[in-house]
Amino acid sequence: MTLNGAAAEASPGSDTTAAELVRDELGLTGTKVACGAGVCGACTLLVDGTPTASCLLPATALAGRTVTTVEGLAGPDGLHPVQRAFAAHDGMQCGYCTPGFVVEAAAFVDRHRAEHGDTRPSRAEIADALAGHLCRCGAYEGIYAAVAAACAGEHDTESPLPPPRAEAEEKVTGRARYTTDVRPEGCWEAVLVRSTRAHARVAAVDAGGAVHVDLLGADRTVRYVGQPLLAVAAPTPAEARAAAERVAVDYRDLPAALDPAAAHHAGAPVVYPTREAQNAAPSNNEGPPLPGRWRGNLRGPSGFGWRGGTAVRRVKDAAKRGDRRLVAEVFRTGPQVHTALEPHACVARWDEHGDLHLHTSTQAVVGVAEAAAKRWGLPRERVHVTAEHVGGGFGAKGGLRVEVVAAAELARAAGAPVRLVFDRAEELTDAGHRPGARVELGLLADAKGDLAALTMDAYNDGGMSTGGMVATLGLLMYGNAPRRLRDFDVLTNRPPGAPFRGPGGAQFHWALEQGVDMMAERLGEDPLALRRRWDGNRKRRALYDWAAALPVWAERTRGAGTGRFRRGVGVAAANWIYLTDPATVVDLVVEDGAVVARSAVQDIGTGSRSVITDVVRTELGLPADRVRVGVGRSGWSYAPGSNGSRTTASIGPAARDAARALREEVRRRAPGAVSGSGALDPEALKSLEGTQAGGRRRRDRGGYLTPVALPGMGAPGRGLTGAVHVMEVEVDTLLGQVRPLRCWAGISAGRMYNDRLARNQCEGGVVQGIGYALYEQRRDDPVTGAVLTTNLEDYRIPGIGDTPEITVHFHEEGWEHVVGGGVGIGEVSTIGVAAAVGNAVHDATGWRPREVPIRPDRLLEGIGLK
Amino acid sequence: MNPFDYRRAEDAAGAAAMVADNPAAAFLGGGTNLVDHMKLGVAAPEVLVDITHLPMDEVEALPEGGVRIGANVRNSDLAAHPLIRRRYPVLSQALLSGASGQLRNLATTAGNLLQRTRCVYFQDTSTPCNKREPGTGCSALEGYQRYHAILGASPDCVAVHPSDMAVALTALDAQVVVQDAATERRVPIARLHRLPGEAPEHDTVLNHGDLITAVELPDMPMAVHARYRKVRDRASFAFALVSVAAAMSLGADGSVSDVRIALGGVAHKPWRALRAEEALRDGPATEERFAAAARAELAEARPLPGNTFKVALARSAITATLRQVHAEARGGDGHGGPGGHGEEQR
Repeated sequence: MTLNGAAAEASPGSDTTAAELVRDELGLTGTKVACGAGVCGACTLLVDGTPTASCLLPATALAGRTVTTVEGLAGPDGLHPVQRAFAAHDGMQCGYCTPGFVVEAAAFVDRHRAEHGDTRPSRAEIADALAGHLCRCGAYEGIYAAVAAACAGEHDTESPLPPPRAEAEEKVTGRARYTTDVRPEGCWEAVLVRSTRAHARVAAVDAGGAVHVDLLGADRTVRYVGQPLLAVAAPTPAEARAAAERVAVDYRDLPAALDPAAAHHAGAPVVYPTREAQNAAPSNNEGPPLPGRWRGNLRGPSGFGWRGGTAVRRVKDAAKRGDRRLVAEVFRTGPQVHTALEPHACVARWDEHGDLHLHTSTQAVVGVAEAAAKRWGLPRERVHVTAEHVGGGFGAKGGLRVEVVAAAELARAAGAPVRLVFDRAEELTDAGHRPGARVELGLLADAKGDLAALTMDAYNDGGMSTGGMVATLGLLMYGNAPRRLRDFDVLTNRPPGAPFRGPGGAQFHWALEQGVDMMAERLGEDPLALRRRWDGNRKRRALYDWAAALPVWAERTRGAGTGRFRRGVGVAAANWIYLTDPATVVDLVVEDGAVVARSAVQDIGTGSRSVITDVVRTELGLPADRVRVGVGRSGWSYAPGSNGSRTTASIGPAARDAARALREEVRRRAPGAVSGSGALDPEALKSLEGTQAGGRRRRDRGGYLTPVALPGMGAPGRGLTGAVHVMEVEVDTLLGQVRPLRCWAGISAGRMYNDRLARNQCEGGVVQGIGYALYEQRRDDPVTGAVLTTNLEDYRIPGIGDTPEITVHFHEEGWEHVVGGGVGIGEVSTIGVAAAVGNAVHDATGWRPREVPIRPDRLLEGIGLK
Repeated sequence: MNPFDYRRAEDAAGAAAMVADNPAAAFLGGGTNLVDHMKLGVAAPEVLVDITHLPMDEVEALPEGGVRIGANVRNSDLAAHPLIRRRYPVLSQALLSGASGQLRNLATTAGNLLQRTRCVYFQDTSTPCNKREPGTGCSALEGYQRYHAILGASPDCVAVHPSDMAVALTALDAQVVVQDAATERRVPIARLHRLPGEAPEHDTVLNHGDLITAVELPDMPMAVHARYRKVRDRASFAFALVSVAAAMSLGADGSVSDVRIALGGVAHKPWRALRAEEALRDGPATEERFAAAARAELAEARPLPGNTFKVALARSAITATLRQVHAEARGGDGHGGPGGHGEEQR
């Protein structure tokens, strides 16, 4: 075949796909395989110029063809215009889907320009062209902008400006290397053998002579279909799969609790029968679990609030007298799966000195190193964790997970590097999920319309994991009226949950923010005005005022519409905490005439590289090519994990501190190299080779909420971030479909370190929230407990055509007490979105959705289609 | 995926013979469905007979007024073909509503017709499934049923046929040209796919080794106004909850002189809605009669506990599509009021 312009020869086996040939045999790892079933588009190649799903194409079909991969898109004049456009408009976050998008978009742009000249295609045309591609980060707004601009001929030459994302060029060219792209010489492949039973004691496992590691706990019990039992390794993927198939497991079946609605009833099979087993249950949250009593499969309550007795009494009395100012409702959510496009993966190797080397797709490089050191009894510096690029995390890639444990153990047993990569079915079953919840809400207003009581009981459905924290989040909202907030876990023999972008927040806001809307209706008050009144915070009041002034809000028609297609506008507020990690350090050194920053921080698409790059460039007044940033190695300076909205607020100030320290060091060595404004002379850097300085994350003014940083949690800061989402939808009342048209996202989290990347992340928060509201639902078989949504066709994340036009507004004031002036936005930007959709659907139809996703059948039933 | 022998046939009859002779052989077209099934372990052919190079890749006008579509014509090429777009736009619409660009660029006409159900239990080799392993039982009967059949199912299988294209072809009265090792024959599309009965392992009436070489569309003037409507959970890449292909012609007095209706997502085969057609033909084209036709078709529906909503949804989709094709047939200008053509375009 002709590959990227040159003749290429290969003799693939008949069972090889084109994607495997290109990646594994020819080493062109820009092409990614994310779903393996032709749904996500990450593996798209041009075959004779035509975009083609290479994961379903036998490699033999490439014989005699002309094949172009993302690596071959660039021409003699540099990058393809579409690659430049994706970089300039930041049409990416984690970058794992980017090669597929870029290849497809290149074909579309070339065709469009040939047929229509340099004109901008409509949003609908772009959506049609890219309908076969999925971006879990939700970078669709940037992608729309990039494709339109490339069609219009705006990127035919190199831009004089650096792209907003530091590593953009690596991502649009396929050079960015992810864990799944790492395959060292002599590397073995590992496969996990998983339970086929929802609940069983494992009497015996026969590994059939394979190199293996046992992964069962001390009680030799499996508690969900898909639980890892054992991992095997062999020199090739085919041999590893065959070895896994030879493993024989002797199960002694136990009755299983599969229905979260019935698992806490008397007589239901008990998931954790002993105290010991209960204590070993995995947590689906960050930090230590809240205390809670166990009664069979019910754990809890872990109660919070203030004047809880008053709150309960007021709600009960109001119910008794039929008070209209009481909103008493039950809301439901189901499990939402993180669905990062790069699956969980690890490549492990022990070197001749006994050091452990781990490439892994993680959002906690240091966390993995520390946990691995502890597990294998090594000093921390002898564990070397690398995560150069990470294809999304969203909370599911923290800590020392099974892929790391298995790969490292197998590498030791095999005496060879071992690679373990989840397939999509494993990813959608056993990589964690946002637990579902049944939330009983009581919201009472007094005669003046003030909040008189808030009660919330949340029954959290995290499968066989504990740690649900949904009702507890009622601490964060609407002043200090009496409230009782209780969280329960309902245990079942289903896969465990994991923290997911604002753990508990999406479930909590789905209930509370629709409840507040119902209250506004009862009080005859504008929903924004009510929120503004109940929420005394000045920063968030600025967001309410901004939202109230939006034409879509100010000019909306009141009351449900008529006719088949009905438009509605909904609003929802959200608050979140922010964390920082005071131990964060950024080190700078002058190397090869450039300032180089090195940090252990991982970049999971949220832009940590870019934050450090921007801060150092700006602080030292250096051009783009004089600042380089390396991230994702545990041996580099300490940085926290990417969770809890803490990364930027930790590394940004540390980078600035480091830049200032470096400037002083340079001033000391070569006073002439620092200008009056504090900029460094780029030319002088050559003679300053080796100059270095470190920077710390200094304390916020007023300190933190806790006297010291909490282990694994960091330091919770003073003040809550806020979001107000305004969503416009169109509902087809005949066929039950909800189409989000436009969304405005107002965010209060202080100064944005990198405006474009921050907007991109907030846009992605809207997209994920829409997925939660309308499409995403993990389904399990009611009889076997097996997860049924094991591919991206059945587990539905939003595509580009499902995305509304999104406008992001940052209210930056009010964070002057924070060093650096800004905090994290990852979580607050998504948790309220679904409720805004729910409120918009209600505004359009008069029907109140109480359960996500708002599927066509639920909507039609709700509005009374007979 | 298991290794397999890869062969290329010289001609259609030779390909048919190569597969007919070996129970473990299969034809390889675009591969989008077969390779997926091989990866999942749903299919494990030992021999793949590549037919993609056989000269079956043309779309051509037939002398008597119809159109012949070669079995190897890619879905994307078929959707974009001027003859199809002009005379059978419903076929283009159906094709473009299915899968994604990268898949349509690979998938062939015959492969699309013969794609197998997306039932999650069929695709999961760890669960019982009568279609995949006859006699093992049907997991969907006690399982998740949202996407399953409401018409023509049997106690052995409640799966639905996934093709959008086949629904349009059914409304268009297409003929399927089939070659075996010796002869060529024509099968009307409505008779190509089966209802499951007691043998759900057979999707179609074809014998092992029968090769589809072409699909022929009859001359059908009303097809110019035919439309395809698909109801699904998400705008991007989703199979139909319910879909409708419909065409209508009107007499001089505005009454329905002829009509074609086919449904997708409701049965083991693309469902020709003969009862609805019968109820509509030779009578006035009114909203009430559209609704009555839809009711008539779905009177026999036997939904499962998990998909009762599909009955009403199918009725709504039929009514809405009839309203739309009626407006088209009447020469609608796209500016209808509420309920009119303009609104329907969304």
